[in-house]
Amino acid sequence: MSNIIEVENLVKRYKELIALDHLTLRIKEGEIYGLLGPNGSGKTTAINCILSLLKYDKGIIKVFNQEMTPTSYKSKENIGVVMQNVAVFEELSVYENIDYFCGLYIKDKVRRKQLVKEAIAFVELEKFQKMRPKKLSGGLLRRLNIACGIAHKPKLIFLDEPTVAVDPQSRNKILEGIQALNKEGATIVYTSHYMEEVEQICTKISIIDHGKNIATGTSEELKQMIKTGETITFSNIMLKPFQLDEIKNIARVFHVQYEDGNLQIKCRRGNHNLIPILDYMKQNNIVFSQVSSKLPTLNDVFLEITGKELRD
Amino acid sequence: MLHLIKYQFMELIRGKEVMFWALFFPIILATLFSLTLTNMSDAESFKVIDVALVESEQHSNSSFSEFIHSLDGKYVTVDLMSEEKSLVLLEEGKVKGVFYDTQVPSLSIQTNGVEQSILSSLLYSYITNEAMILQVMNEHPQQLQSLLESLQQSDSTIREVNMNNELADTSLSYFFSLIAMASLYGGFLGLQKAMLIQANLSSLAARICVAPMRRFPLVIISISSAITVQCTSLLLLLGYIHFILGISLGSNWIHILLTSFIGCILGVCIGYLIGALRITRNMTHNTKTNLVAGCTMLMCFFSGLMSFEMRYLIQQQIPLLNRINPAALIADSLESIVIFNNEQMYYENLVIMIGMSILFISISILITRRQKYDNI
Ligand SMILES: Nc1ncnc2c1ncn2[C@@H]1O[C@H](COP(=O)(O)OP(=O)(O)O)[C@@H](O)[C@H]1O
Ligand SMILES: [Mg+2]
Repeated sequence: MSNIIEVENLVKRYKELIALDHLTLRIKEGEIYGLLGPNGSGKTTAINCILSLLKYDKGIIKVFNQEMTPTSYKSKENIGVVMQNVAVFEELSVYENIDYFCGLYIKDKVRRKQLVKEAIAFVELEKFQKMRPKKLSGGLLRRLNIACGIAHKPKLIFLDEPTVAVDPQSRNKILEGIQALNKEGATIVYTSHYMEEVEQICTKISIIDHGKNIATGTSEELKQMIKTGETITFSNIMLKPFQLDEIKNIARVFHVQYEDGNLQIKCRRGNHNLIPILDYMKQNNIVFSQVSSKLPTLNDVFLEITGKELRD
Repeated sequence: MLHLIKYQFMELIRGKEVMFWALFFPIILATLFSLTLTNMSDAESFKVIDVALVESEQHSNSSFSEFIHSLDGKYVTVDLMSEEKSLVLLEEGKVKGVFYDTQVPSLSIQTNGVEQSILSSLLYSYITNEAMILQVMNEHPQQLQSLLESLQQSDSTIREVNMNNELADTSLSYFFSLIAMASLYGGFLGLQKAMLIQANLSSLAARICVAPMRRFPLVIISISSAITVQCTSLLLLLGYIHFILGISLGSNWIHILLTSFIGCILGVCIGYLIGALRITRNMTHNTKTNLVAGCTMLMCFFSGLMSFEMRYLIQQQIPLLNRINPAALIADSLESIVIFNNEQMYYENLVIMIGMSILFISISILITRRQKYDNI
């Protein structure tokens, strides 16, 4: 599959602040590509640069194998954008809003009518067609926002945090919708600071921090990149300092943290990490109230690479 | 294209706030003013007002004395007297006002009332005439004669109008200021459109910018839809004044319409320019709306919408301001054609207005043609 988007060493400064720091991305046809990063990491800035809305200081951006400029109308025809902020006309109804934006891409009236109808059905806003946006709840408004961006059936769709401030039910609808669009053949670029969402739908993920692409891969690949294979946590446990050292020496354990009676042990990948540790506790008569084991998450990936939590 | 135009109109016409300023607010003002007018003419018209005239020795300005004396018996009863005596009489209420025939003629009044306002409007109308007389004298001495004649004519038409219990020129002036204001409220429409063109001003604009649309036609469609809607509002306002309020603005309909339409274009252009400028980072639509409202109000204030004295004060002190203040230009051009029947002055004002519109729109297009932004 060929690259639909190529971003090479993109640098964008806002005065002293470096918003994008030699960002490189390669997005292939058919992917749901997730840009995962905390607020302020530069996801929106990256999308605005790719869309040629923002000037950038350095770098190359190619979309559909063509350099992207504000006048790349051919490329723009095949792009759909769902902005981070809801951007619809207050004065127009749900139907009219979708028709307006669709009309910027599709001149043919009959075809447009059909597309608008499909878009409305897609976001399940049939009952609200005649309403003005003001009367819609947050979740419905987000769905309208999405419909406005995708009604013309673009080949490449950017969705910038489409689920922020959305109730869980609408959120699931939105995520399912994105997967459906992808099944119909669209390539999706999806930004979020929710790792669960990204993990759930994205086929490829780049973790962004301070405008840098710090890791790229499928969620499995990303998790393979880090040392941690398993994190084991004990609650309400009483340990003596020498015991802590002994635990550290158990096979594959590489990090222990003991605080307020809670013990966190990080192990490298391997089978049955829990058993030797539990054996040790038993032999030494160490009591505890709970034990849990968890496989690494993208948060662990982020934590290990950047030294901080994804969500502060 | 048609699709785009349709929605551009819909978006304007359905905007409640915008339509309030562009259409309903001027209609309300016109109604209020016509009500006070009716009251005024019912209660106190045709009473001749006692005034004193004080001539200063150094700066005696015979044309003003002449003007006041020409009103003697019709509007006022004039007594020439010394300043001391006039002030005593004014204090006692025996005269309602004292005119000073100094280089800049002036008026003293004790209280505020209908009679006093008539006196000040008489002074104001003289000052406007004088300014025009002086201007013509400097530029085209040979035309002075015809101007004086036309002034006399218009003076008599005004008086005739008054006899028929219709509008005096000062009331007309008020409506002209109102028309100026209404035209300039096109700024709200222009602003609205400009905010939708630039990706760095609103998310909506960003959304439009990523569509495969050429900029230039988009800019042209958005400006012209704003102008069309504004001209229509103004037509409604003029119709309302004429047919519903039953107030005649004179017979120069074509001229009045032409001025109003060019005024609308100018108003839209001013708003569009304010909208297109990125004054500070995060300046919201609301702040800009207030800015447009403030600018328009200031222009109208200087053009005499709130009090007639203002415009003549400016005519005296900073005449240049009246030549570049859009509100004054609109009101002046209407006045010069309807009251003074002075075509030259009328077209001069129009040309300045067109010039300003072209200037503003060119700057706006230059700004909005840029397609990539440093900041979003
Ligand atoms: N117009 C702007 N001017 C100055 N700084 C900005 C501007 N827009 C964004 N930034 C800064 O750039 C960084 C990246 O922002 P953004 O791309 O919006 O992040 P994200 O979308 O990942 O939350 C942030 O630190 C933000 O404060
Ligand atoms: Mg963002």
